[in-house]
Parts: sequence; C-alpha cells; structure tokens
Amino acid sequence: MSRFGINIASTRLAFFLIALVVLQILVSAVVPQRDLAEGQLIGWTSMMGEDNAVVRVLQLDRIYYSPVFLVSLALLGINLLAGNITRFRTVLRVEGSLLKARYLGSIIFHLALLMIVGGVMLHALYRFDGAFGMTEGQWVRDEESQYFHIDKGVLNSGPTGAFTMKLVAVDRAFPLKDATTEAAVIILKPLDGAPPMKDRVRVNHPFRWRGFEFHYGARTGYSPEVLVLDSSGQVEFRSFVRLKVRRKGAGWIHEDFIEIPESRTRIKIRIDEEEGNEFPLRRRLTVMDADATIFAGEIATGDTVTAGAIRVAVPRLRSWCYLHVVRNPWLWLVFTGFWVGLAGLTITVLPRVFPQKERRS
Amino acid sequence: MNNTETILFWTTALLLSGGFFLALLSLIFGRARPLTISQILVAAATATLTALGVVRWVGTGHPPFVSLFESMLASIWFLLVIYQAVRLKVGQTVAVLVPVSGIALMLMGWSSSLPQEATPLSAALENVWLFIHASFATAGAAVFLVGASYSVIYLMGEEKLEGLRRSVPALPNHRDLPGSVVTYLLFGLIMWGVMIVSGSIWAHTAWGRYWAWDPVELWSLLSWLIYALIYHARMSLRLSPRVFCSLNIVAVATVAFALWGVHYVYETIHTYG
Repeated sequence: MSRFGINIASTRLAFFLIALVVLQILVSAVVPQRDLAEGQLIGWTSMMGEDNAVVRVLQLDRIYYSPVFLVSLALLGINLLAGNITRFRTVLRVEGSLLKARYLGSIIFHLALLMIVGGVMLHALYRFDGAFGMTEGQWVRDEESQYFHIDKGVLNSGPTGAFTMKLVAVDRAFPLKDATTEAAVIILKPLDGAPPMKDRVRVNHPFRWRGFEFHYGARTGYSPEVLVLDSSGQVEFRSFVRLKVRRKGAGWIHEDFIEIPESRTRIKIRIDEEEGNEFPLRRRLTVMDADATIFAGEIATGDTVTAGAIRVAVPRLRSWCYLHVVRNPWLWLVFTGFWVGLAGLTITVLPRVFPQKERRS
Repeated sequence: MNNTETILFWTTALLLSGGFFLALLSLIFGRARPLTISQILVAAATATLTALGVVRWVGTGHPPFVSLFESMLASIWFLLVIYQAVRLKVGQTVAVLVPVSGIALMLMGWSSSLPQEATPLSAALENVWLFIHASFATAGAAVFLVGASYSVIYLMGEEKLEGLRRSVPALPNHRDLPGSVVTYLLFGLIMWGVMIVSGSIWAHTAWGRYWAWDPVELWSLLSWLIYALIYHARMSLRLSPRVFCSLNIVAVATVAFALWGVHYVYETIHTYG
C-alpha cells in the first residue's frame, strides 16, 4: 500500500480504471471522432452526435489521442503488472506452486493483456500506411512525394525507398465463387537488385514482401486520357486524369475538372456508370472558357470535339485504383497477446467445467 | 426461403411457442409434467432449426452467417444447443427453460420480419475467418443470453424459487445461481474474445488495418469490457448477487446491440451480406 492509501495492484483500482476506459469509449460512440493530424472525421467511427463547444473544449472528438485515454491505458498497464506480481508472490507463498489452473490461467491472461496494450502502443508509434493512387501502366516509387496519402506513427521514419511498383491492370470483374471483385495486377521491383515479382492483389488477398503488405484500396475509378490541341494542332495538354468517384443510387459518377495551364480553359469530364455494367454508359464533356461554357455534350473514346479555338479528344480510357502499402512491425505482439490471453482465460475456466474431486484423507 | 426452409422455420417457431408456454404455465402453477413436455418440444425445435441451417447451407453453398436473418437464426441455434448440452451434462437446466425458450421465440419473431432471401458471399466475406468470426459471435451471444437467463431466475427471488422447488424438485438452489452466472460470463468472455480476435486478424487481411473503431468493432469491445467490469466489480466491490445479476442483464443488452442493433443506428463497414 502506498503512502497515499492507493494500492496500485488492487482489483478495485482495476475496476475504476476499466470503468474510466469504458466511459471514454462510450463517449466516442456518440461523438463523431476526428483524426489527429488533419481534424478530418474518421469515416468508420460514430457518425452520431453534434459538434459543439463542449466537445471542442474537452476534445471529446479526439478521445483515442487524448492524454486522459492514454494515461488511463498506461495506469491500467501498471495495475496489470503490479497486480500480477503481487498475485504471483502471494500464490507462491500460500500454495507453494503456480500450477493450479485458476491462478495460472488468471496470471497468463493478465500478462497477455499487457502484451496487447504494449503491442498496441508500439504499433501506434511505428506503423506505416501509405496509399498510392495509380493509373494502369503507371510506375511509382517508395518516396514521400509519390504517395497520395501517408498515415504513420510518430517514430516511423517514413518511406524507405525500397521498391518501385507498376500497376499493370485493374481487373474489374475477377471471378469468385458467388460474386466478382476488383483486383490489381502489380509488378514490384526491389531496388536492391532482387528480381521483380508479379502478383494479383485484391480484398482478403494482400501481397506480402519483406515486412511490407500491399492491399487493394477501397476505390476504383476511371482515368481517361485527355488530349487538348490548340488551333494550330499543337498539344496543349495530354495526360491521364484520375476522375473522382462518388455513389449515385445504384451506380457511380466519375468526375473531375482539368485546368489548362496558362489559359482560362477548364474542362470537366464525367462518366456515369451503372452498377453491373462494366462499360461506361455515358461520357460527358463540358469545356469552359472562364465562366462561359463553350461545349457541352457526349464524347466516345477516340472521338475529337471542337470547343471554341481548341479541340478535345479522349483517345484512351484506363482504370485507376488505390494501393495501400502497410508496415506493422509490432502487430505480431498484439496478435500473440490475443491468443495467449484467450488461452489464459480458457485455463481459468477449466476448473468450472472439470471440477476436481475432493481428496479423501 | 424455399418451401422446405419455410416449413422448417415455422415448425421451429411453433415448437418453441409450445415449449415456452408450457414451461411458463408449469412454473406458474407449480406442475412438473408440463416441464417434461416442454423440454421435448424445445429439443425438437433444436432439431428442426438444425435441419433448417443444413438446408440453407447446402442451398447457398456457404455457412448461414451472411445476412442478418441468418446471423439471428445462428444465435438462436447456439442458444438452444448450449441449453441442450448443459442439460445433458449438468441436468439442472429447467430453471432457465422459460427465459431461454422465450428469448429464442422472441428472436424467431424478429427474424421473421427481416429479409430472408439468401445472399451470395461478397468478396470481403470469402475467407475462412467468416466461419470462425461469425460462429463465435453468435455462440458468444448465446452464452451471454443463457447467463442472463440464470440472472432472471435469480431475480425472481429465493422465496418464489424455493416454493416452486417443492413441486418441481429439478429446479436449482437459489444460492447456486450466481455461480452459474459467473461461469457463463467467463465462457462468454472467451467466445466473444475469440470473435474480436478473429475479426481483427480478418480485418487486417481484408482491409490492411486490424482496428479502426468501426461502430461494430467499438460496441463489441465495449460489451466485452462491460462484462469484464462487472466481473471485477463482483470481486473488488463485493457486489451483492442481486446487483450482480441485474448488471448481467443490462450487459447482455450491449451484446445484442453490438450484434443486431448497430446497423440500424450507425453507418458501418460491417455490412451483412
């Protein structure tokens, strides 16, 4: 017992710390949470509740990053460790052995919780999740400037420059048993001279290489090649343009703007896709000079349309997708902790299922 | 559902209704014989529900866990199977026959209002972890529900239960019930824990992240922590059995919400089908 009258190893303290963690998680279930870096709403968490002054002042929308949450977890870890050491010593002194299911199971389970908490914290510090937005035929390099988005722990040094990668093709209808799915065929080229590898990546089937995992992303879209010629036939603009994707009813809309450098011309291209129809149904082009629309109509692949002084063509149509590069150096600790903890719980429960018979004197 | 599935579904519902009402009448009027018939009806309902699951599995080609309807039926099946298994091992399960059959009947009623057509497996679900994750989710929920049933019986009160034991000797001692509740709580923690662990491993394979505080993940963890909290409260705060059993009933509501209620309230990546 410390001088402050608090027993750091006590079950009562464990109860209050667990209650504190539960309360904070409950708050996060009703207040929309935001990520730490950019303040964006985290899409997969609660979408209930309203943003207001109380939320902002108390930072209730960043519960998982708040000092209170982290300190609660840290104190719980200390309590777990102290509690197990105390239990360990008490059982050895009183029973003479730890080899009784009730004690052994409980100690194993609580130590496993420590592994999980430790693994979660180390994972949070060292993890890396970078997303490439790639069009078919494009090569990318493992460099910060090439990633569409990077989310990493504070102790992770970022991209290591270990590979280049090409998106060979996006298969929009890879056959499965009952359905089809999207899959990306990639070529990975290590930059240390090892031979390149080719593989197909899709949901539930990431590609693993030297601690990296390559996962298929959540979005697939269209990337038309847009060619703009001036009045003399010179190329003003030629590039594949990754169109943004959004849901519309049962289908999708792929749409984006292009601004031609050094002119006031803006080109909007939109592709409407019906669910289940792998070929784009309608492609619409709008060409604007400043705020004036000088062309609006449909365009097929290979067609050229004249809009004022320029001509616009869509010679080719490709697909694009996100590919996530993930590194989780400490995830093994979390998963090992999971299974060890379950084993400990199971050992604890065994005496209730198979009670020991009383020994006769 | 096809004709065979429809017949099996409604036969199960009918058998459960008979079992529930006979058990209830038996306890109200203190008669042992209707309880015996009730046990037979509930055992028969278990058999017909098993047949329904097999027919559904053969028809769809995948384990019947994909839609909300299938998930609910799976929970009912685990609830009844756990009841039968404990009855064979321990014997003294008549006490929870009323709440178990009542809960199963209520869930049958709820599932009858859900879309029942078989849905094909989406790409994200074509993984061996579906079987492990979904079965432990439904089994864990069933174990917690059985524990809650013992809590309900305990809360009836010692006088009432001892009064019933005079005419139905198979009923357990009132003081033994909290111990049973603890056993089911611990089993439930294991099963729900396997569900969370297998879900994390599967999420990492499917989506590249093992935890993202998705509402289903959040509420699953919350319910697990709440049960852990109740268990620690019983040990450290020396909760009375009455308070402990009451909290156990409240906790099972969070399990039911995590499994079946989240989709009505939140947007979540955990979609059925």
